[in-house]
Amino acid sequence: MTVTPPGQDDGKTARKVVFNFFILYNARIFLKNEAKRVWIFSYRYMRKEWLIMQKITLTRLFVLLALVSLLSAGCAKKAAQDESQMTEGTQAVEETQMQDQQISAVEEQQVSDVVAGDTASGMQEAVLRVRDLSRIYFDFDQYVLTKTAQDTLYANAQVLKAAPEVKIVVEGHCDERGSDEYNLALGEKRAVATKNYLISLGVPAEQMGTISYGEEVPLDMGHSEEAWAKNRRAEFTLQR
Amino acid sequence: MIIFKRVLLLVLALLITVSSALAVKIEISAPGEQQIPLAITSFVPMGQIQPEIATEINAVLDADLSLSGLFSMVDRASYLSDAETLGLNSVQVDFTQWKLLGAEAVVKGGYRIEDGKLIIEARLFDVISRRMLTGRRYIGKPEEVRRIAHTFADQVMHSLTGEKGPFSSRIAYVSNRTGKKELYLMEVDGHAPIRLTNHRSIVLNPDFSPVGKELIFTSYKNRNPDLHRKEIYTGREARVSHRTGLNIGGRFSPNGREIAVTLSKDKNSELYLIGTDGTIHRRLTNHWGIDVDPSWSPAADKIAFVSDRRGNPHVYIVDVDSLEVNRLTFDGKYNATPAWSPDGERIAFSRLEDKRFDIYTINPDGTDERRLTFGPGNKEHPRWSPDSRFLVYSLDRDGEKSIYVMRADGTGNRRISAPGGDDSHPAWSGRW
Amino acid sequence: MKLPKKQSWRQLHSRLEPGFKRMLWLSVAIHFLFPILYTGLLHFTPEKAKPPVYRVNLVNKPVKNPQAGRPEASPKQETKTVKKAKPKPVVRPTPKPKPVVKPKPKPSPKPEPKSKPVVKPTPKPKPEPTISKADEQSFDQKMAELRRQQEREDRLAALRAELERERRKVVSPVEDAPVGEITGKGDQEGIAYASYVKEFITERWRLSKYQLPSLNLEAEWKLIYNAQGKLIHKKVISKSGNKAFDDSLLTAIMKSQNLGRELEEQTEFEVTFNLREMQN
Repeated sequence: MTVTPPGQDDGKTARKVVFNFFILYNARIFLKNEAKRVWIFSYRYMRKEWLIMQKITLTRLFVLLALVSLLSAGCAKKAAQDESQMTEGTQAVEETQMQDQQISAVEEQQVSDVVAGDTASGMQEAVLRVRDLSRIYFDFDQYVLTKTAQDTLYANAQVLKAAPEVKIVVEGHCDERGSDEYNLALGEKRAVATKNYLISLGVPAEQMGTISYGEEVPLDMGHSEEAWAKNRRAEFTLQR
Repeated sequence: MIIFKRVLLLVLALLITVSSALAVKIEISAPGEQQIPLAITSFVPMGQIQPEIATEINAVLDADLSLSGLFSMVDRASYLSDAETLGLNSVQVDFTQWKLLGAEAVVKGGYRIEDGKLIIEARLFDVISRRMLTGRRYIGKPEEVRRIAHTFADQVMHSLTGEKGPFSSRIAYVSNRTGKKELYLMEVDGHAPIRLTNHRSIVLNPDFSPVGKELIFTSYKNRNPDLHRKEIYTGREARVSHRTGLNIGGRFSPNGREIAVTLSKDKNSELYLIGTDGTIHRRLTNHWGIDVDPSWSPAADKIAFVSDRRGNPHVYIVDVDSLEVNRLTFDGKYNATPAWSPDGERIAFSRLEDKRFDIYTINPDGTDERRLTFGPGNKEHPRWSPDSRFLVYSLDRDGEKSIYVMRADGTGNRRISAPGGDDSHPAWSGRW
Repeated sequence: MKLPKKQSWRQLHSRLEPGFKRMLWLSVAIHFLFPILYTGLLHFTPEKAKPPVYRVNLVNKPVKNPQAGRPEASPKQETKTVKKAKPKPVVRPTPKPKPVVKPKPKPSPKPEPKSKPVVKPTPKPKPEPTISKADEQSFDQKMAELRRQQEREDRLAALRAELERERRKVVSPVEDAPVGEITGKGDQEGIAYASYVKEFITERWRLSKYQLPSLNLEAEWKLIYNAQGKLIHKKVISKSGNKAFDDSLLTAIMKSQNLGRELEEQTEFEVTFNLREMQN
């Protein structure tokens, strides 16, 4: 069985369908209530109007669908998060199993490699690769992972999975704007979101720790938009 | 006879009503003068002349009493001969001279050094009624000049307002002068800063204990934001809470027995009540949003905090017993760092408006919101003085962070931290 | 539930009849009534009386001697008389005792002591040479002439002053508009006594808001000033409860014991002290 790359597109549309169906189901109830109100106020017309109503219901459904899809794209932070956890959790389970098989395959290869080279330098190479893990960036006051972030994390996940003995710490950072306390919490949320995504990509949870530095450790000491954009990040350091 | 009495009463009644009807009604809705002209004289040596003592006392009294807002200072250059005479009671003071200068209050005093002890006599006189309003004799060490002067400034405020001033208390803050953020302590006018910690990491957000001389603060010394405590005079340190995740924003309850803190051990920043030993007493919030920055009401029944549960950070108030949460701020898109005044009347906070943070105050019921600071720079972390008449805050301008104090109505802004470093996160102690 | 269309329509129609029409007309009536009520077409508006026009002096600072517009009180006239008096001692070298003429030049040079201190006393001690009668008579005539001239010029000056005042007078569109104050009779100059007393006491009231726990304090005093402007009776009607506030009021009233100006008559004032102006 081949490991399919984690569904960036497939998962999304599937999620959308599920979500919209959820909304639709509730909307049906909402509409029915409205129908009840119409009935109470003009029950005399109900029979006559029922046919007309049925036609209107369909158009209302379409309008609602359009509105709802707009809303869900905009600000469903939590929903996205929960969903990602929900759906990717299930994926994770599948993939760890696959991973185990993979790891055993890799290990076999490593054994043959060990004969040729040195274990220590292999370890060092792994460490070096982990140290070079790329950072990911966030939008202002957001801890949602952008598409670019997710792509970077995919690459990082591969490196991490290839070196399971190297433990890392995911650091969450913010730009200097805003309250220090709030930024500490926001940084924490960014670190946790990153870690969860990596878990969903197959990285074992025990390999990663999280910490938030808020706005205390900026990369760029400037006070411009570019500097701030560079500081809103999650980065990876070796655990000591 | 009875009829006569009745007639008399009737006539009197008529007279009274008639005369009161003829009274002219005037309403005066503000005083014509809103500051008391004060003359602070140099304290006179009663023995050995040591001019530096007199100048120190003068400098401290001048700074403190002008910050109080009660006084306008009479020009020192216009002082007449009575300024140089030692006047320790109302008989010895020539009030007509001060009346000529337009002063209505005069501070006079003397000092001497006896057996290695410094003795300072300080008096406050009222020029109009020609009497002494308050007088004190202080005995201390020669290096305690400033402390004695601050104490007298507190006493002057007490005699005119009924409540002592805050000039003898301390301000704790975070500074990176050593290259790393460490905890410092200084006096209310910014003098005598001392470094308290040597964590060589990051120290944040201190808070004074209302009972003992100790501070709690967040530190990354153990590679995690943990809540530490430090006793100021013994120097002892300990970790109060070191759970995984954040242990930040620790604030002592008014009786000093509990600490409100933000913990993120359950993968989300929530407010908890913990004991001084670190055990969790209660969880205060239960929401997927960020809940940080607690501030106790003086009655210890409510806590103001920052939450982004509705999308943007706003200040909310949670009832400690019922855990009911009510929203306090509705204007603006980003309200943070709340601070409840010790008299319970106002809550100060900072709001982001036009890309800049400024300090506002509001009643705990959400009415009468007022903006206190204007001008460039970000002003955050307001904290109240123990008499609720002054605020200390952190100003971030042009990349430099410094600490300022001001009166509770936003006037009298002045810098108290020395230039040359980044100083932030001030906290005002109780009565020292 | 679906009946054939026509049948259901008739059924509905029949079921609607009884109350429906009444409700429909009522609804239409209300819909017409609302716009009419809103635009106020039906409202009764009584005739408005024309508001009276007052000319009020907006400058409320206390005026001790309101004499604006009375040129005869100004010191300028005195300098004029001095100038006229100057040629007299020059014309009359012989100091014939003329007591009538002498008092005039004496008071007028006083405001100008610099220029004429020497001339005045010297004519007196000089020895008096004899004068012929003819000279005396011509001298008398000259004196009378000068006196008449002086009177004429005085009259002219008075008329000119009158003219100036007339010119400066503001013509009111209303016939008998009261001048100076709302309660005025149109012939007063200066300001109302109430405003004067209010400004006087306010100037002498000194209080810092930083001495007070709140700005919601209020106290009332009864003050009686006699016609000469002196405080003859003061009494507290109600205290504010705050010591600093009440003490400051007592100090202000003690400083306002002498108004420095006469009132029309003995007046009683009920003064309310509060901090409303500071509460914004």
